[in-house]
Amino acid sequence: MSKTTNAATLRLRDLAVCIRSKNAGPFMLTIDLFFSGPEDCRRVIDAHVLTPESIAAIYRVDAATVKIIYVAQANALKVSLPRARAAGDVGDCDVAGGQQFAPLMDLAVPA
Amino acid sequence: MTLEYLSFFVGAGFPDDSLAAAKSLDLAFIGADAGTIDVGPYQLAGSGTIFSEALCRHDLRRALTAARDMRVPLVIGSCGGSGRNEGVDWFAGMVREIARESRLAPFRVARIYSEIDRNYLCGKIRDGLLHPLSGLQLPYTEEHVARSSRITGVMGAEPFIAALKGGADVVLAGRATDSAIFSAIPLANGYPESVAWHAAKVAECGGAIGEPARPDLLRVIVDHEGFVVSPLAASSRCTPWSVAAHQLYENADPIHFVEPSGTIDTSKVAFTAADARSVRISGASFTPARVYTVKLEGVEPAGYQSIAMASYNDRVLLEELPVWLKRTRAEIDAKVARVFGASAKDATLTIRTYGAGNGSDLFGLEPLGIPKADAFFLLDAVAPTQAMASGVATLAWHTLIHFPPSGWRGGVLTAAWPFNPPVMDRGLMHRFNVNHVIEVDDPLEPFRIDYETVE
Repeated sequence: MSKTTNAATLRLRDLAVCIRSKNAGPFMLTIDLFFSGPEDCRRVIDAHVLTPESIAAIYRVDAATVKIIYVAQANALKVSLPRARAAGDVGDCDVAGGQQFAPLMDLAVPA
Repeated sequence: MTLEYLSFFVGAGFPDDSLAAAKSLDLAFIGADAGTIDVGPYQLAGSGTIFSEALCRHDLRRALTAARDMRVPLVIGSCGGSGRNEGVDWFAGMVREIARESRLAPFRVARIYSEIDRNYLCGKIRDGLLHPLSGLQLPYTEEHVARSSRITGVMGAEPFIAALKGGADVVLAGRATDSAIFSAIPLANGYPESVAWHAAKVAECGGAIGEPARPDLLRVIVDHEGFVVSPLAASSRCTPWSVAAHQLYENADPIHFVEPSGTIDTSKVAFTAADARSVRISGASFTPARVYTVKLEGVEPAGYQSIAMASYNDRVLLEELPVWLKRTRAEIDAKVARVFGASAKDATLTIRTYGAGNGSDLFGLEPLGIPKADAFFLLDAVAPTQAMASGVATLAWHTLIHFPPSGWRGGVLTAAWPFNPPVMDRGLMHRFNVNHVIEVDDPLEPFRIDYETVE
């Protein structure tokens, strides 16, 4: 099941079985990355692809406001960060935050 | 000793075979969540709902009939969707009508209202008992309270427990934490806080924790060490993965769930298959809060909104889209300034471009690209009056549909648009304006419970 047998660099979307995002309340965004097993999850953690600093750089937010959480029971990683603007405020384009995982999909994860 | 209950979401419903299966169970109560803040600020401000009256009435009829037949409480939180007192009254009205039509009376109903008294809230602010939550940081002062369209508190388990002790057979509560709905009766019956709260947190989405995830009646059996969950529909099942994975859904931190009275810690939780369709969960801990806090949800007017749309598949224009749009925007801004003078700054015009790679880009990370097939523009003007919003949107739309690309000679270009009239007024829009909690001396303090006997 694990995709780690592939020694080449893979994109997050190739390694994950699902990447999704949603609001956690109107002011926070939360991104879930599910993997088929602990090896793939560990590979992403060990590659330091998802860190408060990398997320802060990608989404242009303060690293101190970013949380990365490993949920072993679900072979999942969670990334939580403040929304750029409150859900439904003037200029918002994604009221429920459903498409904000897209910037992470193609991140390269070295073997 | 165990305690058993069912969970569903009002409006999303549950299948017939689940309802039939429920009748043979020995239940302590039926619980349901009926609201969410995730659909946006309008539902709290106005009279809109997530689900239609037909859907809510259908679910209420089936759940109320089942609960009265079994003589168990029906406990519903976030009635009407958002925490408006009106939403509680709306549900109470439907319950009375259903009781009369289906001859279910007599029974006692408690209505718990969650809208917050403004003077009370200003007192909390003056006393320094208002605290910000994590996420986007917003200032919140007495001025914000005054200009809010509506403010609601999010109740914990205590108002539910009080209503049930007050003799309620049916509890219709305003805004509540999803888990408060399901933790109240287990807590009142002496089950450990860790189990009662974690079971409630897992239960709150009903059948959504199953595989396949679908609206259903979720069966929860609580004991003193843990709990077991299973969907009632035979076509779905709970697996350790489906339940564990769902804990991440719309929660910023699935290891620490913060409730008004404390925090559920799931770091040592184990999910194990109890049988082919059920999962047993144990190992959570609960740390009582040092101070009891109630989260606030509130909205204020953001201005009147008008929208318009247009699309292009002219490849000459699409190939120079980023530059073309920049020039078009400059022309629009100059016209708005000319027409509206000093008040032009009171209007906000947003031009969203779809097809060029950044239509859903909340963080503004991607530059406008060259669309491969076509481009769709959604214009949105927000202004202090509807007339001004409509004026700005019309001006912007008319400029955008005729603005020529440099690759064509002449100026008769016209975009495609799908509707007439092309500019649509969307009325007053609202924004969320509070991301804070207040400290309370008594968990019931911000809320009001009214009782009635449905005859």
